[in-house]
Amino acid sequence: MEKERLRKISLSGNVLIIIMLLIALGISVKLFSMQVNEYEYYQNKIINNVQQEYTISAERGTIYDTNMTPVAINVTTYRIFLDPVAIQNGSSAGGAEETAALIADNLSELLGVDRETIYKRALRKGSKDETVARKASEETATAVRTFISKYGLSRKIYLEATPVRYYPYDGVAANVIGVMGTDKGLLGIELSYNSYLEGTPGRYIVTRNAQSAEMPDDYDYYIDAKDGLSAVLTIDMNIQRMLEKQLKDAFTNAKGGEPAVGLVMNVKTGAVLAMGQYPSFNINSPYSLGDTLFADRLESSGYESGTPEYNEELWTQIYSMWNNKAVSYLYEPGSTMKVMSAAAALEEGVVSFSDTFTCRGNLVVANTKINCHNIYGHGTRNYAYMLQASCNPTMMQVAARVGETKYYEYFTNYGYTSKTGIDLPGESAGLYVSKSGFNAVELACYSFGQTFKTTPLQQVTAFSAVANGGYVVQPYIVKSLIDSDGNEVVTHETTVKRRVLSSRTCEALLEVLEQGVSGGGGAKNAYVAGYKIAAKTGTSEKRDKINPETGKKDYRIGSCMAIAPADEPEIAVLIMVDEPGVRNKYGSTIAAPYMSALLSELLPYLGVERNYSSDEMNRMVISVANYKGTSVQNAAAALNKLGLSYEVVGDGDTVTSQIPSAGTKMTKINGKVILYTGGATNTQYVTVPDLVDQKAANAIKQLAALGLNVYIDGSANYDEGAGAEVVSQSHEAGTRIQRGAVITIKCQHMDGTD
Amino acid sequence: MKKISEIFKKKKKEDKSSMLPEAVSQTTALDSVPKKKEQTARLEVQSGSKIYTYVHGVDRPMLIIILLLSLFGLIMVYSSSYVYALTYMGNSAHFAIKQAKFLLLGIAIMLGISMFNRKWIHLSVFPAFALAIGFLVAVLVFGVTEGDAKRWIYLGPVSFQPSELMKIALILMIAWLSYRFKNTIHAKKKFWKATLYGFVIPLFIIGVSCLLVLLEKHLSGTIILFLIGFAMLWANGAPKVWTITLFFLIIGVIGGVIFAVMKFPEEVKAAVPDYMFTRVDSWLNPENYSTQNELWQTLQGKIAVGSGGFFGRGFGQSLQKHLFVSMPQNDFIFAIVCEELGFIGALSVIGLYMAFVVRGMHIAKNAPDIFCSLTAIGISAHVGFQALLNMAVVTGLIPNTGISLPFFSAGGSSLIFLFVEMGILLCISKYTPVSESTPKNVKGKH
Repeated sequence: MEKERLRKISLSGNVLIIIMLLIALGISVKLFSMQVNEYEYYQNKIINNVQQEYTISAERGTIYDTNMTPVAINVTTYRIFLDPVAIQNGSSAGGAEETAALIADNLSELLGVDRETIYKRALRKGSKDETVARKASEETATAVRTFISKYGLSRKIYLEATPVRYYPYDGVAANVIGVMGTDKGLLGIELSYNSYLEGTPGRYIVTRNAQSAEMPDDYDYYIDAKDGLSAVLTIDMNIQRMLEKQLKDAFTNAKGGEPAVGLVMNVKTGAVLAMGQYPSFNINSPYSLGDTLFADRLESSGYESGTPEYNEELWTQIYSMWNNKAVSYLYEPGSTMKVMSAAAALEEGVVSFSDTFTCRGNLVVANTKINCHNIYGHGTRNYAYMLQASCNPTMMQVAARVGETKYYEYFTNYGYTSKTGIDLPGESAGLYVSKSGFNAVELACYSFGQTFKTTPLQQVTAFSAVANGGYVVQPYIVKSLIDSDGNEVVTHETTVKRRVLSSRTCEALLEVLEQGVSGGGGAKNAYVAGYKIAAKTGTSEKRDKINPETGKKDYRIGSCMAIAPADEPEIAVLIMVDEPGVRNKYGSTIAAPYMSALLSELLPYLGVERNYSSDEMNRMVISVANYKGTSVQNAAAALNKLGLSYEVVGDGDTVTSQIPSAGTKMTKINGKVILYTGGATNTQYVTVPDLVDQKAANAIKQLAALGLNVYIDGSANYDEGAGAEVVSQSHEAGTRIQRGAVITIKCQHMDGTD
Repeated sequence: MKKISEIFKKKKKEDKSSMLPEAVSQTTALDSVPKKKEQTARLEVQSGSKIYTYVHGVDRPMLIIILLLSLFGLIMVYSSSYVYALTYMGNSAHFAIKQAKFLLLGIAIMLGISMFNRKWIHLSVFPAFALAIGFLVAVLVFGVTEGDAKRWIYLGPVSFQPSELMKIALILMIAWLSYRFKNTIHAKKKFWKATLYGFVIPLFIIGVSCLLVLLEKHLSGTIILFLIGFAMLWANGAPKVWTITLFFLIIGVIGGVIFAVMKFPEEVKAAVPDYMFTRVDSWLNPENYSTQNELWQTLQGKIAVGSGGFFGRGFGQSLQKHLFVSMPQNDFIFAIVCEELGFIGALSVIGLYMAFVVRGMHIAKNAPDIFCSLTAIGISAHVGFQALLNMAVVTGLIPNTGISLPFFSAGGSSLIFLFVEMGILLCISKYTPVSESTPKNVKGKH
């Protein structure tokens, strides 16, 4: 009985066990699903719960030029702000105004901010953050700190450190170096190398409990920020400055309508030594249009400041100001292309420099009449002359010999149909007809550089192939990336894409081009005494833009390309003046002189030795030595040795004075030093003639006849018949001047050829 | 009293006569008690220290399970409360030390009670129940309000929740009733009478206890009391049709409540106390509750559980105990167990409770009489259901009702009451017939 009952009870108990086990199983299943299946979900939740993550910003890499001169660095600036609530609360009744006045007085002095502004902000009701200065320097910040601690204003004035990018060179190479946005590059190297420069931010993770108190540091972890790599550019800021100086002159003198562009490239490696444009902008204030043509355009747009249209126009102008024309601007290269056409023809063996061609001022190709820039025609001359003189009909005839297929092949191989692949953002590909559309007329036009468009960089890259023995190299601008310890992490190696020309072709071509510069060719304004320079100028029509003033498509681009030294090429240079506003728009006049000026500075910098020909020796510029106190005999001997003539006035044995005086610069040509002895003084005066617009040779002769010495500014050659004209003189015509004095004349070839 | 002492003597006399429990089956009432003499035999064969004797007397597997749960619980109290104690008490071991003190006291009480003769348990039924009712009424009158609920009673330096006492009292009372009317209840032909004595009367008592606790706004206590009562009603031999009916009725009510809260939240909200509605509604519609309030604890508990993974974060490594789970040493201690020890650790805790229940039922099965058997069932049901409900809350299976985890959740008086129950259970286990595993020395004496 009892046993039976107990058994019944325990059976019921077993049912309870089963129920509990089932519940336990249910809980276990739920646990499994939470702890195993949904583990990640809860793990993330808990991380959100307990972890507070702080980002440790990585230091952005420095950008160096090729000489390891920093061109983009990081500096700490400070935002200085007030806490008006604290100023109000922390002061006794009526004391807030007093405190505000104290702050305003001192900060206005330290920060150069208007006192009233600070005073008003300090008393702004309800605000806890009133900025009074941004981008304050470390020095200013220190001064402010001193002020704060002196008056115990630590809860009323705050400083907030902000790292900012600083560019020591301001506006030099601005378009290349680029612009920084708030956290990434927007332009140039800052953009294209952003991922390398920015580094990896570190993280500092603090675990905090529900009350935001830090938990034991077992849970903390710290991942150090990895500073960005520094970029070492191929750009040499010294060369860049030289280039930009000439671009400025070229742009200013030619009254350019669009920024002038220049590019210097190492022909062997493809390293870009300088790349610039004028006008440009200051990278440290990249949003300011300055007083450039962009600002003028914004103003002439007529929009009222602050309107959406105005802002849109402002941004349009900022973007066009930022635009790196050397890689993104498409233009018709014009006659500089003739070098490439000639190279193709020579390589193909379809022409030799001694072949003669006839130019009648135009040529009809497939029923289309195409003019030469010399509408009277170049007559019948050999190919070398025709190239130097940049004759279009000759180029068309030669190109026809090469044939459309072959020419197009060269065109492609030179790289005109593809981007160069330079490590800069925004590179444009060229504009050109497809192979199937490349007919006889296109061929004719392409041969002298019209009807297709290329970038300045493509043009220089192609041109470099002529200089380096026929190799098309890939241009680049960052030569290495280095870590913070200076170890090279990435090194750029020269990439030769293909060989297009043979050395023989290149050498022959360079020689002819060099002769054109030193002789009477179109590019003679690019001449630099003592250096062999192969150059070609070009003037192209902007056939797709109508000048609103004249209603004609009369915008031009004048350019000059040079290879130096011609006998052992190192660099290829392009100077391009866009939309010159002067009457003479030829590249030979608006671009080549600046090429000469640039090279005369650049080649010595590169360590290329001057090698004067005997002619050049005679024309060399010397600095007159001091002969005072020396015997007439010795002075005469010294002057003879220098190749200068002399004249002795007076009958003493010792020189007592001289004209020109010691240290005066003069050109040796016809140079004569007048030595005075025995107290004799100069009494002879001559009248300075009007030399401007005269042929240089003629002017020099005139000066010599008057017994005046000459200093020829620039290095333009001024052979008789070479066509150089005086563009300015140091002393106004009609001025009375001592005989023997030095007149400075500036010469330029004005026989505008292409 | 006389009768009991006589029986006890009688039992002692009969100790040597029979080893078999069957021998007692013919006796009625307390007469059956002495027939199970093997335990006393074990008690008597042992010499030396009383504790030693005692240890061999009680069900050792159960004792080991209880001690394991207590020790495990203590360790987890220390680990889970570490940060909370450090933050609010300035001493990371504050709760652990308190728990350890109560645990030692509780174990002592447990061992003490287990040494009593079971007649004392019989004798304590009415006093315990009367006391429990008295305190429950007193708490409604004099009790201290904590939050929404009035649960605690203070007697000088001692404070406790009368509902905890009621759990024991109810177990004993239902067991006693089932024992007292066992003939009626088990009589096959007296269906309605059996229903009256085996179901209606006990249910009334359960209902009264539950109502008193519910009046304290102590929902979890009510639920546990009801579950204990229900489990005992199921097992006491009364016609099962009633308990099954009741079961489905409750399922229906729960379903109805859920349905009502989901469909007519406004009406339900107006009809029931806020705290009840909030608990159900926050479980059903967590999106209506900001994480800072009602749901915070449940949500943080779930995060702790889930983030433990399979092997856990490692002992002492909980992140959620850093004040995310507030008072992690209390109702949500299992969440910290799950976080630190993972699925494996959680399973082992569940396993321990299941072992407890199985062993408790074993004791019930081998109990000397219906009273002891049902008492053991009641105690097992109490620990088993309370543990499972707590885990169900922590894992988000049911709404948060504030159920603590026996042996684990830090507590003072509740721990003492729990160990009183354990003492009763162990006391009953002394009367379990000697099994195969009985130590040799016992057999050797025969």
